[in-house]
Amino acid sequence: MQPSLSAAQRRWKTPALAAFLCVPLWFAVLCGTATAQVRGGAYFLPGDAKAGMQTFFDKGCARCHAVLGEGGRTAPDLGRAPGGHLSAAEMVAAMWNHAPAMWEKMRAQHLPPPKFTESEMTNLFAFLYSVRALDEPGDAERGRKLLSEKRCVDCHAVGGQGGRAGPDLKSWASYRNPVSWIQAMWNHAQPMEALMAQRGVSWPQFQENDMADLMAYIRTLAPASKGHVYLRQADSEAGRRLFREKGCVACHGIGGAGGGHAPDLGTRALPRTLGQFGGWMWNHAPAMWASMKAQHVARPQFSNQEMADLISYLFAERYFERTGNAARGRRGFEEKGCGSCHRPGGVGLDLSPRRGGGGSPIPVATALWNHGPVMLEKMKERAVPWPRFATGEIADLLEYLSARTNP
Amino acid sequence: MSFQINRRDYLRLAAGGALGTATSGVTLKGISSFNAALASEEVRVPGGPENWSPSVCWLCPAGCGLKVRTIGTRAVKIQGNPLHPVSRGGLCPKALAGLQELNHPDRLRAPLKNTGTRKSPQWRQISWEEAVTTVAAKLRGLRGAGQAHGVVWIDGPERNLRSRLVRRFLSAYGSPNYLTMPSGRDAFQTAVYLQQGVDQPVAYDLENTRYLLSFGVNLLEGWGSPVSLMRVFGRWRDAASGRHTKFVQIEPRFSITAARADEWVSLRPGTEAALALGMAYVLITEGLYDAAFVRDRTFGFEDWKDAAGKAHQGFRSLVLSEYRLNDVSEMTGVPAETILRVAREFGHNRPALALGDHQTSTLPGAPYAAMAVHSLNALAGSIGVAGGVLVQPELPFHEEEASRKIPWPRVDETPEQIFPGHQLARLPQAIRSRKPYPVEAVLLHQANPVFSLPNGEAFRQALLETPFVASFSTFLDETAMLADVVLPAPTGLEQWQEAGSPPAFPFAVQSISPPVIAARHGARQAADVVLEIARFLGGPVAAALPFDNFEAYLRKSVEELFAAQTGAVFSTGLDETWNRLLERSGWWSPTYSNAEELWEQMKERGGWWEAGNLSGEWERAVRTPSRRFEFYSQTLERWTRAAGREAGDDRRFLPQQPALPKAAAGYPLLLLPMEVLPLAGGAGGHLPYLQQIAGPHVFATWDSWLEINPVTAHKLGIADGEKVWVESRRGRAQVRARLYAGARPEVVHLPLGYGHTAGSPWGCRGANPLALLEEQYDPLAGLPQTTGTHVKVYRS
Amino acid sequence: MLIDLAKCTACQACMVACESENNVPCVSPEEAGRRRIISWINLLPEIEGEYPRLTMRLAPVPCLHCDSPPCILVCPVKATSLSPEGFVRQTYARCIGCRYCTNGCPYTRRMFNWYKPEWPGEFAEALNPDVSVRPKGVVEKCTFCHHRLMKARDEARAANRPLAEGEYTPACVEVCPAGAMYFGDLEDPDSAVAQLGRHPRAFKLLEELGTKPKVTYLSEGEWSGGERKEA
Repeated sequence: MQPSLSAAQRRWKTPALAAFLCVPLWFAVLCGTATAQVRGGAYFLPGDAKAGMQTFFDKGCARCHAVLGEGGRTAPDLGRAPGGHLSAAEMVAAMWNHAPAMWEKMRAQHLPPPKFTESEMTNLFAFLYSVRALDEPGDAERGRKLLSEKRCVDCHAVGGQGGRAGPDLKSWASYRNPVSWIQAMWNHAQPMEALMAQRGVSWPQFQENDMADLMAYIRTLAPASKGHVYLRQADSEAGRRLFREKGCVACHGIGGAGGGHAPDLGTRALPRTLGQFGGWMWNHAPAMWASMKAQHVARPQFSNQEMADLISYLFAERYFERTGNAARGRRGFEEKGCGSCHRPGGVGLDLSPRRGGGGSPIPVATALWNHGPVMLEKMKERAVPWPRFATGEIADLLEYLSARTNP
Repeated sequence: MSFQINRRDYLRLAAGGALGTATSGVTLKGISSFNAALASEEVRVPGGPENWSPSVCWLCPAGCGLKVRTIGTRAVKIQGNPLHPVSRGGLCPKALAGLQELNHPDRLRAPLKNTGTRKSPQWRQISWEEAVTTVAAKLRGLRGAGQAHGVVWIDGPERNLRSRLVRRFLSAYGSPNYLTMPSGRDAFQTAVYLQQGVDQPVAYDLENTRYLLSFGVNLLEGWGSPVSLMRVFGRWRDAASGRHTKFVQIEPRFSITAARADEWVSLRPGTEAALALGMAYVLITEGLYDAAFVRDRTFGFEDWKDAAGKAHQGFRSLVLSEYRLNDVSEMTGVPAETILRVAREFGHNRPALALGDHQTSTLPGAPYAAMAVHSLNALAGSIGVAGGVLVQPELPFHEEEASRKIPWPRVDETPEQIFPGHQLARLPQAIRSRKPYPVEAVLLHQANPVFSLPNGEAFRQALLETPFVASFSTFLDETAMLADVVLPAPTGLEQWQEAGSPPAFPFAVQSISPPVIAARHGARQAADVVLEIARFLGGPVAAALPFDNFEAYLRKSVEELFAAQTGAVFSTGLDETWNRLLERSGWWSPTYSNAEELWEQMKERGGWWEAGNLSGEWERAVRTPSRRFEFYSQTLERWTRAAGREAGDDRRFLPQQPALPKAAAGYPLLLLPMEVLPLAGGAGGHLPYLQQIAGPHVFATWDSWLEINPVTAHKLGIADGEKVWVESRRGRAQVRARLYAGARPEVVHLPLGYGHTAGSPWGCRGANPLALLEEQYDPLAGLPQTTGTHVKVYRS
Repeated sequence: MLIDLAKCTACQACMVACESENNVPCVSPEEAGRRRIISWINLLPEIEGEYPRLTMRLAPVPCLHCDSPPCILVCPVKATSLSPEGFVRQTYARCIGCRYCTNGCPYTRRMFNWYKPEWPGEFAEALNPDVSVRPKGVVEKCTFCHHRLMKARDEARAANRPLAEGEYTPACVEVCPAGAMYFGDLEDPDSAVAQLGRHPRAFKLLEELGTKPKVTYLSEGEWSGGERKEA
């Protein structure tokens, strides 16, 4: 399915632009408001992630939840759980499914459920979405094992010990960002590939946090005098341009444009973090190059900032999933029992055409918090079970609701 | 525990504050007319435009962030800078009393020249031009005569960039002698060098530690960077997040730190090392140590054989044979069950931290004792990890290479010690013996060694013999009294201020702030005077310091900071969390795009820092010959051989309990000087705000007090508040006795910071305990020690 | 106001902050020896036991701004009263210096000016223009930095918005390095002071006298055995 910019997105991106502090490129968001500026372009992560963090702490979310270790410890760390990449709709689904249990816990601790305005929820989502894409410092011990398992040491020395064919990995120790590593590997891949083929070493595959773990290990060996090298804020607008200029778009589809020869990056499941995505690029590199050779496309080279921009663009693009299906959503709406209350004259808010209400993740999440506890009580009275949504179901539902309001 | 207290008790307890107000017997009418007569007594407080400016506290090495309120040209209030990562808006009482130093009646009003003799000085006010020319001409003369190396600079509170500037000046001028005031922490730093091979300052991740064993470290009374310590303490006990860190204080005296700790373990003075090794005994026998860490990351735990096949004793067998639980209990006076329980808690809670980093120094052999405590950190695997002992990150400034190699050693080298170091305390000996070479001039900057070092009297004698002495000082203190020229130094609010990473703080910090108000009494910033002297000297010295003033030097330094492409300008706690999240995953999000913007933002917000993650960089944390933490210090072994001494017994390279001082006949009580927060570092006695609050637990104000156990006092016939003599073999002093149940029966305590003889009459009260101490130096590193003097106390 | 004694380090920064904010003069060493130091907030030391089994509590005590303040009842000239916000205030111009109130306050939080305040050297340069200097012969006490409230309220009014929590804090609370002191609106059940005031460790000083103090304390509490759930 290759839909154009869906109705849902058209409908709520426009007000989002007008109403909220809209920082266009999600990495600009990630890197604070001070440098943020509103730019034109189709790829938006609405809201201000840092303001969202403020909301996260102010509303008391951080009393129980942490994000990547910052905050409470009695509830799941929202920076890590659930695993994998979550679009805004999937974040709503996760929130929805756990809501009754969460409210129960809060009641036990005499904490009233917080209420949110839509702009607060927009910021909160921007925050959670951004933070979830961050890589964490890896596990050095695991990294040490990986280094030999992946046979890196066959060619590379680490602090003087190991192979001589590749550069000593210790010289990379000051790089703090896994994307920098991926970039360095990518650009040197051609001779590396040749050498590996010659030596019969298979192309290493990096899963999950492998890259971060490797880095953590190398860092324990770093010479003390070296400083830390960070990546500057990535620019997903620049990433969007690069996606075209470097020729990615010739094979990969995204946002309904381009592609055909390679996986559609607008629909394919993503890993949670930017560094993990880099790992995937690496894993698929030989296949990719083979295909490029066939298409007579040149192998692109990236600076590490370009690599960061490119990946951040892909993530910005995936905040809104395009996989929703209105027909499936309609079935879900009835099967899960939503329709029995949310109808004209029903007990719940009328979600019928042109009544508004649904349609995009943010209003649904806001409504969930502001009205959810009351709704749960009413449902209990009527012995209606709290519906749960599997992967993709919320996206369908949202598509259905927005389709109804925008026929 | 609840606060059970009735009104009678309350009045008794509160008597320190207000009993004097409750007098009766005056008629209402009488008071009324009395009052009317006073109605004209009005104090007019001028107004003016209000301003808040950031500044940096100058009253201790921590350099907390200040926010100063000015009304017109007056500074009227000091508050904490909420953006400053060290203090986060909080301050200690010292910083708040800074305004009294600024407005102090006894400040120097002009440069002074001594026209009399050293012993009986006659002060004449001179112009700044004459003062600077006198110093500069002297320096030029010495340099011309090839005596440049004979110039010594002694810095009081060490700063980062200012100290770098002075070092750069000295190296261009041709002197290796940039000297700083010693600290008791040198002993622990020595232990870290011997066991970790690291000579950079250590830091502690106290915020994330879960179990803290403090071996006599006065955490809440002026240690390290006091405000950050108090902040961490508050976080340990935050009602919302639950009390997750246990803090055990081990010391002979029931100090305020001990009182505020979760548990206080009292022990015989000077036996901390034995107790630490006794705890190691428990950890080893019960298998509660981090076995993987000990196996992979340490050296000398098990018995071992060297390359020549010679067998050596390991830490385990040392502890198991010599520090058995019952023996240690007897040595230290701590019940065996307490040692057992605390050691088990230490073993079960990770990360756990053992702190032996005394600020007030202890016995000769202190580095061995520090090694004993530090070995507990190795057993707990708490080195180079979150919640453990870290190496403070370096600030990204380039240290200037000496423009030419200076062919002279530092004048305060300690060649007679095994471990060749530098010790300011050795300077008097060097001056008087004219070895390794004659000292021609001593320049002091806000340093008062005559008052604040145990061998102050030797300093006085040595300075009397020094050909030329100049002092940059705010007051005419004991050391400035010995100078030929005194140059009035401004307080922190009147000058460009900067400070590097605070002591023991685990992050790199650089504070910078412009002057808040114009300098009083024509005082001039020492750094500016140094630059002026450099211009006067011309040639390579002027070329090495091409800066119009200190501000220009700071600006240049900020360019280096910008070039490092890391860190962030001071910001809110929220920004801090945000930056930390980004930083951990390798992203840097500066709020500035060039050095100029960085400079402006630093001036406005107070500075720059790097909230970076320090743990997990083993190569930074350990740089010994074995690349492991060394229970058995090969470094020490190497130095011992290099010093031409017989290596002898293996125990010389392993942690050990130093020998305890013996009481001499007729001197039955041990004198332990103590540090109190208001006079932390032995400074602040000239400020009334601090004098008023110096000893709240015994209602002591404006005077030193002798803490003595009530039982001991009773035996000696001494009543509370009575004047008594404290006499050691070196001298005696008269002080007021305070009966305090927190003093050990065989020990008495005197607070540091009292007994000035110059500077301000307010400081010239009470007795300086350092004047009673017998001179003792650590045989390993030559550190001056203050524990171990016995005294007798009798009524006067 | 709420003071968490578990967090208090007894550093006394609150005392110096108060003195410098409120133009409290330092008395001479001799008078200090007679315990005539004026200190609106000070530490109440309580030491119990014998070496080595000792406890020491050092609780900072400002004026507790009681809801039923005994000091007001005994004033013959109505120089002291409860303000609309509930502060116990002192009108210096009306005070005749009889010191009935200093005797009436069970917490000894009222101080009498025995002398004309003196500011040696340039100390007067640091005087805060927002706070009047009390003459000899009147009683003075903690105001919860009332001048700060007036200032914050003026600023809020000028900006046409209500006063927000945290906009007004007394000098002692603002400077507390351990964050042991909290200040806020007791009538707002969501304020930090009100929430912590319901904590099991909460208590008030000499509550049995019926003075209804507005300052709550949290007692020291104990280490919980290190129970902390790791993520």
